[in-house]
Amino acid sequence: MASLDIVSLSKTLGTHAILKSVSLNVPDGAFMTLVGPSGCGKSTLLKIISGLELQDDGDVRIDGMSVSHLHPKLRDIAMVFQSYALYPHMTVYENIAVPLVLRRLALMARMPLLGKLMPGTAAVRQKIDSDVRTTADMLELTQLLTRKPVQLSGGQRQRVALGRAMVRDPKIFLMDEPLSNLDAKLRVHMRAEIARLHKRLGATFVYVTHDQIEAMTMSTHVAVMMEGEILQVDSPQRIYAEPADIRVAEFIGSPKINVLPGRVREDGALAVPGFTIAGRTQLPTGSQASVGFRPEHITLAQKGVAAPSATIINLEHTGPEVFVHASLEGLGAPLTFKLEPHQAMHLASGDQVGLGLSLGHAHLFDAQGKRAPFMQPVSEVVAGEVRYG
Amino acid sequence: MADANFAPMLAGAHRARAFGATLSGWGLALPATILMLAMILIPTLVAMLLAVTDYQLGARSIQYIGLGNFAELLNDRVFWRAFNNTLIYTLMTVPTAVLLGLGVALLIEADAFGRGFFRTVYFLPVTALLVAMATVWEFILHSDLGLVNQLLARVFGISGPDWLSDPNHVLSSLAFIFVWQQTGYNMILFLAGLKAIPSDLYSAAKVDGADRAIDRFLMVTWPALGPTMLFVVLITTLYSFRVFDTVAALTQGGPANASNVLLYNIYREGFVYFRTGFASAMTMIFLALILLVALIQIHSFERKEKRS
Ligand SMILES: Nc1ncnc2c1ncn2[C@@H]1O[C@H](COP(=O)(O)OP(=O)(O)OP(=O)(O)O)[C@@H](O)[C@H]1O
Ligand SMILES: [Mg+2]
Repeated sequence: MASLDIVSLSKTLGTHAILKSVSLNVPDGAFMTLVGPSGCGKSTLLKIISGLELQDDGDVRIDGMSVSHLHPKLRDIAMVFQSYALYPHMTVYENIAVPLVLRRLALMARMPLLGKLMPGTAAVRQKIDSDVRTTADMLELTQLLTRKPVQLSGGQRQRVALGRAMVRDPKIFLMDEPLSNLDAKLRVHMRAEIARLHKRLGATFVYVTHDQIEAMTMSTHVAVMMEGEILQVDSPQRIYAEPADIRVAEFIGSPKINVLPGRVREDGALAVPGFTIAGRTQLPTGSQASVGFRPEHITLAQKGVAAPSATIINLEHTGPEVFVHASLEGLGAPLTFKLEPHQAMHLASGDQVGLGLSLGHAHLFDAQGKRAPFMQPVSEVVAGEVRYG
Repeated sequence: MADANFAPMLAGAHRARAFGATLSGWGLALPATILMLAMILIPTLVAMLLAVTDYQLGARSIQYIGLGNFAELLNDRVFWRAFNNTLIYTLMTVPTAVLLGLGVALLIEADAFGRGFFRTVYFLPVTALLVAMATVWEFILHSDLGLVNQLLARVFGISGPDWLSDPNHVLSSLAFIFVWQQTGYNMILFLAGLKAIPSDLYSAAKVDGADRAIDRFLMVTWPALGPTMLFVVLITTLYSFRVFDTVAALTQGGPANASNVLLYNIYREGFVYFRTGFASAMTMIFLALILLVALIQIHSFERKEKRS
């Protein structure tokens, strides 16, 4: 059980700054998920935490103690790889036993024949055996112990990789996209299994993914990373409900949040293409700002109420819900919003519809893309406050 | 009803298509097959037939003598000398060239620095024509003027032997030249094998506690190189068995057959003494030997695969 602190880590490869002074605190027992687009430096960060790569600057601390100078073996960290990285010539049993054998037996004692002659080896082997079997039992691998990795399904390999990480009871687990090679159904299953494992072991997890569903469902904390920087660390709920940066808002949530570019007027209201949002902002007059609405926060305007009008481009029926793509005059990208099937029953592409914007859920971002508050809680001044210009 | 009539027709179409596929398959394989027949199988067959005759190149008569040639071989001291020399030569070269090739490949792979340079340097001998290089070796190994003996004399004050004329050293000298060339070739094969090992395996091994290079070698590299190793050992053994050019260019099997090897002996019997039938019999033994080596190695590899 351990807390992990990453303190202003920097890493440059060639001329390319991969990590730009990244700091992150992972509390003891947390399930910290790192999400971010491909190439943003997630794997690099994990490799530095585990000691597989060296940082140019900054520090990695476990329980407050710097481990930056320690070899991976001595950091008491286990890692699960996207490719599973099982040793192909070893059985499941041997794969799981590797971390114990390498830690508890000297090179000589590991040799097939010589090892038997070394005093004490038998006792160590016995302890290793019982540890491996306990772990295999926990992961329901007992039936598969004599198989080779090639004889296993993807999910089974994944469990072996987990077993190899678990068996020595490390303080911290690092997982680099462990589920991305599995099919959708198995992924859902393994997601639950890993979350359960986390609860059961009580260890600290750092989990990398670019699947936001994984991030939202499994974690206690989510860190959103982009271009070598961590933009926000928060609970999954808050990451979604209160994105600190427009890039976070755009990355989390599917379909993507709708962003309307605007300009702050003298009276503090925000003029966006086609209408004005009257909730007062603190932003300087005349500055650029943008406002975001998640698809579920836009609906059809009530009959008879003046509303910004949009033209439907197409409708996507997913079953329980319908995604409507519509174009708003003056806005380049189409808007996406979510309706219930009965609401969309009579709609067709080409129709003109009025948009009902849920202003209470609007996200305001300043010119730099940082979250900015509306002065008055906008939730109190719904719909009527939208003035159309 | 209609369906019932349709089914056989469909099956017929299937058969026709399958037949067409077979035909085009054969068609595609034909050129290679013809070449193989013409260049390998037929000559082998001819040699097999000649091996049981007393045929001499250019002779008008040819007589079936059964296993006469083989019986003669059993008591032929030169043949046995060549046979033993080939074995000794192979035992000297194969482990050395394989282990050196692996060592160099590991060193090159371990450090990106100068990788391209060393890879080229070690591979250069492979591209050199041995017969042409023989002159250079003759000079390097010369008893008085040679580079090696000059070096021995000046640095260590030892007077080196005559590497190519001393019966005690001539085979080792030839083996050295072979190793010089084969190491680069093996290195390239090993490098390809090393490239195919996923780097995640090394990362996993480090995290699992393999903090020394030897641990990671034993856990990841060595097992993963299995198939490459088989191929390298096999090819090195076969090349080593087939040693001819250095012998022909540098020693002609001498002194006193001290560097005579199987292939050179075959060449001498067949093309210097024109005893075609006798040489063919030796060729058969040579072929059988090579086949045996290949089978043993492939078999032992497959058994290891099954066990592991
Ligand atoms: N050996 C290297 N030399 C130079 N640049 C590298 C090297 N390895 C990685 N990079 C760069 O570092 C950046 C971060 O890579 P990293 O593997 O950490 O990304 P990631 O966030 O894990 O991406 P993904 O989600 O695709 O796995 C990338 O832009 C990549 O191009
Ligand atoms: Mg990655």
